[in-house]
Amino acid sequence: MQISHIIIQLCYRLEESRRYRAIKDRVYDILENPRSPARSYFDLSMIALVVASVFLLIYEVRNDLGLFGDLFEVFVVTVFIVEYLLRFWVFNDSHRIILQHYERAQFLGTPFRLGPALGEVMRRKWDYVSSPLAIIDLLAIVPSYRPLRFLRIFLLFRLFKMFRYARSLSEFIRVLSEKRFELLTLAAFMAFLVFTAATAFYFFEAEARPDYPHTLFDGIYWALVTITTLGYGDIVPLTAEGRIVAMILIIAGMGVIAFFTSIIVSAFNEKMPEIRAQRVYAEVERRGDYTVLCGFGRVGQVVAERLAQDREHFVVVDSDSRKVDMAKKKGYLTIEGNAQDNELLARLGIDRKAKRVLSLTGDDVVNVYITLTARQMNPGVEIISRANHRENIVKMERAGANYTVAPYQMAGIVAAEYAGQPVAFEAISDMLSGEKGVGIDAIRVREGSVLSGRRMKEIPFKRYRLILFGVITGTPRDEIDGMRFYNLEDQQFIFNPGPAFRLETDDLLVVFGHEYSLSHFKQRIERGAV
Amino acid sequence: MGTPTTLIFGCGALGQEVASHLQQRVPDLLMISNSLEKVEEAVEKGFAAKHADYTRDEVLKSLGIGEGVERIYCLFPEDSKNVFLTISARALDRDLTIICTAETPQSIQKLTAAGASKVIDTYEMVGRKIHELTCRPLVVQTLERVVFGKADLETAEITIPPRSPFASKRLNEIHLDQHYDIILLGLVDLEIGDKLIFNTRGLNHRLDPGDILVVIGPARELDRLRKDVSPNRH
Repeated sequence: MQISHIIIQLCYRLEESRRYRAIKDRVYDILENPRSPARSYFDLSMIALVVASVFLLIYEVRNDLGLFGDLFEVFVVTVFIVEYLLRFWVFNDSHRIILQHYERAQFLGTPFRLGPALGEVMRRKWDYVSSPLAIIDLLAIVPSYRPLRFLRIFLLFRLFKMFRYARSLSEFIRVLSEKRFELLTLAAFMAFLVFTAATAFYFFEAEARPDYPHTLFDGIYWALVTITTLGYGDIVPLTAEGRIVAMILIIAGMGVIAFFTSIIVSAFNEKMPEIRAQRVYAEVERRGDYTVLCGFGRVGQVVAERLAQDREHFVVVDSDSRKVDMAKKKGYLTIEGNAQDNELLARLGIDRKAKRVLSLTGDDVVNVYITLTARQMNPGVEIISRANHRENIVKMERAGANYTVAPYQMAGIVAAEYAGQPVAFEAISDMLSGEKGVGIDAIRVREGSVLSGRRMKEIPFKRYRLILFGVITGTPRDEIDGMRFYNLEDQQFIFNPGPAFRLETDDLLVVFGHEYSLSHFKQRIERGAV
Repeated sequence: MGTPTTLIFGCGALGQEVASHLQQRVPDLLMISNSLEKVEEAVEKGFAAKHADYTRDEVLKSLGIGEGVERIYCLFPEDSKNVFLTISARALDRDLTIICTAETPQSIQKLTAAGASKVIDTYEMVGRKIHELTCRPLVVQTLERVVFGKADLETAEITIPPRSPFASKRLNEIHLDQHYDIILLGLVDLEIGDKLIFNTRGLNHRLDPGDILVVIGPARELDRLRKDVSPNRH
């Protein structure tokens, strides 16, 4: 058997395994999930461990702890290594990437190649390894390896581990550099004050008592200590003139400090929203392959929640600051702004990296505009738009939406359905929502697959606890009596094909069942034993 | 004009949408709003609409609630109006079917507490569908066109009447997918409970009078099945 085959099968087995999923979710909860209670306990114990290990390191500089110290060090390093590897593991789902490649290849009917799939797997993992926090983690471990003892100073990186979530240093510097003009003015003013005061101090004091201020440097030192209101008191003015200079300098110093504080405060106040947005843009840029969700109304919220559940990458755009706050509270990447703004869409990389745009605001005019703008920027991006009024569905499609969803129309259909047949209505809504674990899936018949050429009666759907709905096919068929065709775009849907119906390569089998049944069935197809 | 059996409160976009879907099924429906403007708009579009102040019980009674009306829809965009209407209507008629829409998740509970038979959470539904579209577009499209679209496939529920030839038969004896061009999606088996059971569990239920089959199929086949299920033919 080919290696790629074995890998695919393994991936399907992982995908199917409930235990694997449960374990991985549990690890994710402990290590990464910001909302899980287990995580905070974990963080606290890690901080304790880091502090203890650094404390011991310092203690060992002058004392020898013997075996205990060595054992503790081994323990700490083991914990760090396990933590590092676990984080590496839960960072993403590699088997999903391979399955995605595989299913895409199946869907398009092209041969599956393992190389690019593995390449993407490695690239995603490299994303993790090259992230700053992962590097800090690594540097906290590496110096414990004896041949790299010279890197001992990096053991202090263990302290940096505690700041996994505070990476504001570079932003602090950036904000200050924005206020360069004010700071320079202040610095010039201060330099002038210090120099004047130092000269005066030197002039009066050095003359009165030849011992103390030896040079002008002593004067400058004194002036700076005084102006910052620090006042060590090692050099003090003794003459009345010198004291007058000191008094003026103290008053001026208070002004300087106040000025300095206000510059920094105002700089942060002004820049804070931008810093946040910047972070979001940077984050978006780094991730790639994400969804831009415009409009965080009720529909947007539901979609965002589900995307977050799927661990899909997405960024929320809304112009209402209250909604933006709400999205931020939920931990989503959010940008406050008007999605009709070309520049904003461009900065979000609609023309480059975005996979999908969802235009879900409550205003059809805005939705059409977003749809049109996004389509012009990128002919290939997938756009799903919301049309609140029936007459606007056509406009959305003309503007370039791949799919249009009309809430009122859906509600209309559902409400009308509920009137006549409440049970059937519940069935359909469960089926569509997938809330009870049941759902519909489409399975592509690959060339050479066991399904190809099979008749329906030869596939034991019952045993797999699946219900066959029909087949979507592009291959025209001879009519077996009573067979029903429904036209899709360039394909046909055959409802309830009889037992004699024969599957061809590239047909899509539409089946309904529990998600585990579906996954099991797919796995069996892979193994070639249906 | 006799009293209508179905009333739609709210003549906005949603009300009109519901009315246009219901029209084929329920010919005698009437739209009601307390906004003259909205009523005129609905009348212009060809719906039967009437201006009435729904906040007063006499008006609701004169519209037939508590007598001929079987079902009302509360489709105002303001949840508070829907809650008020639900409470008023429920007080007048215990058995009335009240179907509401809700803007926020909080109002769903309020509407249910007020006595609504069914609350349709439009936004939740749309959100779900958009999410489905992002991960499985082909399946959604198939369902769209075939089950909810213009094609003649329909979802239907068929209740087994007393003395039906189907009564006391087992599921594997009736072969809906072969004798009829019909797929059995699930059923309500009264022996087990009044909840819907999907036909994916592989259970071989015994059908009894009162059980409900949920099926998908072409209209003509569904009619044939309905006829065969009813007792008077045999």
